[in-house]
Amino acid sequence: MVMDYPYYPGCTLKTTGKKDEEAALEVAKLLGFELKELPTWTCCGVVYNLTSDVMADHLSATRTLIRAQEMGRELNTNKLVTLCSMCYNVLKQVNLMYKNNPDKLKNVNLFMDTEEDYLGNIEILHFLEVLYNDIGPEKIREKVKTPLKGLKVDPYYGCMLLRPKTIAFDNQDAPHIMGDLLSALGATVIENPMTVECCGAHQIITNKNAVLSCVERIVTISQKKGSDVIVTPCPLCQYNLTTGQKALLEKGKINHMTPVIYLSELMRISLAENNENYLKDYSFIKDKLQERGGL
Amino acid sequence: MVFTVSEKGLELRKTVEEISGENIFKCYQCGKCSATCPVVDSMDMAPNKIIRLVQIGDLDVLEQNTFWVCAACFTCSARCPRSVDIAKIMEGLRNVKLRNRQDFINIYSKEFIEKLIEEIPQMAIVSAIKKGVW
Repeated sequence: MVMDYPYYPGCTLKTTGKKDEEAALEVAKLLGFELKELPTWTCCGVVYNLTSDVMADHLSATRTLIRAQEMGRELNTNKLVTLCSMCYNVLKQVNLMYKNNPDKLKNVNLFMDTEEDYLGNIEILHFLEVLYNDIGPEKIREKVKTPLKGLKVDPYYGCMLLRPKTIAFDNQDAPHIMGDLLSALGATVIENPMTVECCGAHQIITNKNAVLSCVERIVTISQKKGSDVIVTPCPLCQYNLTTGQKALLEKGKINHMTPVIYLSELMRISLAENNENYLKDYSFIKDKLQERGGL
Repeated sequence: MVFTVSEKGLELRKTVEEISGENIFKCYQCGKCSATCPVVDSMDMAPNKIIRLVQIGDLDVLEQNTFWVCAACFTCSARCPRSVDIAKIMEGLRNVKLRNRQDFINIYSKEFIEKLIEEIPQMAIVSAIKKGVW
């Protein structure tokens, strides 16, 4: 039986990544479950602190885990679902750190004496894992209303879902989950060897050129392979790949832009009963589907 | 030839090893990290050379931009044949600078504040601050 999940959005899903959240919440409903947002939440910390001697940086993630623990009691679950790749990464790494170091968990509980103790048994899931493991591509295939027939899709994972190995939920070098889900929607999946390469992440702030060269490598291969659209689960990858392409186009490094959208957006188009409303925002998908007989 | 390491160099090596929790001498300089790094072309010095400088206690390592350019994507850590967590060593070097109050980003600068007005996702802003400001 599919149940409802406590859900942690994180900062970006409420602003620049809003499209992802809107679409994902709807996709969940279309598949018969609900993502229930934590009633209160704070920042997750965004990047996992890699030092061995700093605890303070893990506190914001720990508070989120405690919020999940509270909500989990109501919903009778120990799961917490995230949509953002970086939230997934940092929450899962902090959680794992406590699992491997009970002393650190004890310390943090002593330190945060205004909060209830974190018991260390929350399981962090990314929305993709829920779709793949708990729902499954077969069930999704049955629910497809508009098959994305002929649409050539390049699934791009980025770093934060697959590295480090301890938190990866798919094959680190040859991930297949997103591809399987997209095939279930009827799309043609392109194999891009750059699928697990970094988009440059926060270097967009301090070193834009580093991001541009990452984006150029990823997009050039994707375009050579003939993709119509790049699909990603991460709001920062989406931003970097989109703005990066704009800059590359101005510099003449690429000759056209490939749209970059969230997996949830594409799923909503395919699963929704009445998708005219959604399709009008994605004219390139509509055109391709009409051209190749999908609509 | 006898190779000596300065006292400050030894201290740097020890600090980096302590902060990162990694054994810097596991590295045998194959260069896989540099070959696989997505942002190596923006770096003053390739990651494997940075590790070598820490091994021999060369303080020059702190003048390179490499660890600031590192996006912490963990590709090097995932692919290192000696299981050296290079991302952690980069974090160690960043922390050596930050703990000496040598920030990489000035959050009060006009340049940085302008970024906040652009539609850059918060996650990018927060990670840049966490990696580059004490």
